[in-house]
Amino acid sequence: MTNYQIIDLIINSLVIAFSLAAIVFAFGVVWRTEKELDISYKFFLGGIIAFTASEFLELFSFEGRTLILFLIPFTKLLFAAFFLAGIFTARDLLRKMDGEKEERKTNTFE
Amino acid sequence: MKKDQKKKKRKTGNLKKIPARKRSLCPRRAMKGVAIMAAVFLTLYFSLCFCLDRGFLQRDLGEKYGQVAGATTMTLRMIGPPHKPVLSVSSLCQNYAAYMHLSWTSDDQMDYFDIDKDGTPLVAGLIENYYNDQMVRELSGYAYSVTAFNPLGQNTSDPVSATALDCGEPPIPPPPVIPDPTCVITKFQNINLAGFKGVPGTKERMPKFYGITNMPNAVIEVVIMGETSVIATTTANQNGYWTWEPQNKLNYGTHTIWVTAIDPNDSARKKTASLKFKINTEEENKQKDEENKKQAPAAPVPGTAVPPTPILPISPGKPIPPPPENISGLDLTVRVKNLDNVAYPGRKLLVETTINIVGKAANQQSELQYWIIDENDNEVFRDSEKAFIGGDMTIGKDLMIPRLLKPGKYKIQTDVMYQGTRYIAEDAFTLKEVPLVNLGAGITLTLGQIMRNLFWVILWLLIMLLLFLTLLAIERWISGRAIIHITEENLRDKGLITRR
Repeated sequence: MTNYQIIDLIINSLVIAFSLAAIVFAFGVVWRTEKELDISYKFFLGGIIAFTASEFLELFSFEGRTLILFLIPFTKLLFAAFFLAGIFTARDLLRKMDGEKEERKTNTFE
Repeated sequence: MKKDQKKKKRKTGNLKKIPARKRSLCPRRAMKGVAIMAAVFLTLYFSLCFCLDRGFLQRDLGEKYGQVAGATTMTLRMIGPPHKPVLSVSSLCQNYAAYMHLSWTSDDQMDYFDIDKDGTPLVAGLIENYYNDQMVRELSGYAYSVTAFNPLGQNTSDPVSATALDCGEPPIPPPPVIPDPTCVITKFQNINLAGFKGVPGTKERMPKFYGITNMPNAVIEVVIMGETSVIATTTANQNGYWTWEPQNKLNYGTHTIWVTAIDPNDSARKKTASLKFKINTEEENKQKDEENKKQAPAAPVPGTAVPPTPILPISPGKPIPPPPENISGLDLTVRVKNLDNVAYPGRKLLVETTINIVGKAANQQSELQYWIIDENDNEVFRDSEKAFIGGDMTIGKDLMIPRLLKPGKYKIQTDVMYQGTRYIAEDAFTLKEVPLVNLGAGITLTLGQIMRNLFWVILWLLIMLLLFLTLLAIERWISGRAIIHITEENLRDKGLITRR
């Protein structure tokens, strides 16, 4: 095994390890937030799960495995969509707080 | 008043009770984080070590221990002033290059040494009491002195002069002797040709030829002349051994085969061997079988001596003329286009056949045949397609390799009939087991490899799963202990979101 291969292997392992850690910590945030903040983090969580799934699928990708080769870009699309939705929700939340958009009256503490 | 305070308290929850100090990143938490990260990295390190190369862990730990052990040495020494070292210099030769060998007396009170050459420093901080100076010119004189050091002072030897020897010119190595190329047909079907005289015959219409050459990996060109001529190319292995057999039946009768072994690095180095052989008809076969039965001795009675079989004289065959020149009207080559000539069962084998017409081209409809042949020269797969040959052309073909083929070395043979001559070309490829896991950077794991290391694979996966679930459980437990649910309003009330 060459040095390049070892480095590549370590990087691939770290990508998966960090993705799994990100899932755990994103769950932590989702469990303790509410309302739009919660929704945006749920989207981020979905994005991270989709990204991790695509990384796992790449482990089993090989020429001729058409289903897996189709699922990889599909999960990447899911990741991008969830990430966009999360960003969009967070942006919407900030705009509402800034008064750019009308905020619906809620009675969280009442 | 008290009611208002209670209401306010309910609104903000118990947030005020929590000191800000506890919410910030304290050193204890940081240490905890570092410990978790260290545990993760150590688990990864040990898992990788166990899964990939168990010897690596031993080597790595050994090196680390060796470095630590080497770095911590303790010495106890009685200090006194260094004595004056006595230097001796001798001029020597090694591989026709002169060098000076310096050696001097030393004792326990000398820590290290510096050497001066012609009054300028040559080397400093030596621990050994010898040194080889390679930076010398032949027949040149040099003066050396050595200075010994210890914490109490230093002492320099008397200078010693010496002249470098003349070590002469290195001899020019003789050019490598390249032996004359050889090519011998050693066996025809089941007949060993060593000492065989006459025309060997067989009833097999696709006989196998065996031979040897003294050129490793030589290109073997085969020409068979007859009613239907055959021109084929194969390769010898690294020992010069080669075998060849036609994939189409030869006509009955006598044929001549010319086998030319060509050096793959120098096409001018080649040697041709020839053999006249006969494909017997069925009648001839029957006659021969009957003759053999008649000639076969009766079963010997136990206890009686068996008379020796008389050796029949075999008339020497006529000398075979050299192979016909420029018989080729077509140059056929076949190449496997898969990366590194590696294919997988159930996947495509990309074959590219190039046809170059030599001389005047004649348009002709022909059939291109493809064979996959295993290491034992058994045909394992066959396919064909119609092709219109009318000039130089390249034909691509995707052959679907059967799923049940065993991994190993195979060759693809292409065969085309053109103007009464059969042209055959081949290329080798390796069939590998389809990988199950692709770790990236060209590292793959097959099902067989995983099954052989099933214990370590399961252990590694269990460790990872356990780690993940533990982290998730810790996170859930921490979330369960959270006093408040955080919302955007809550953050604003806390002053975490303010106006610019």
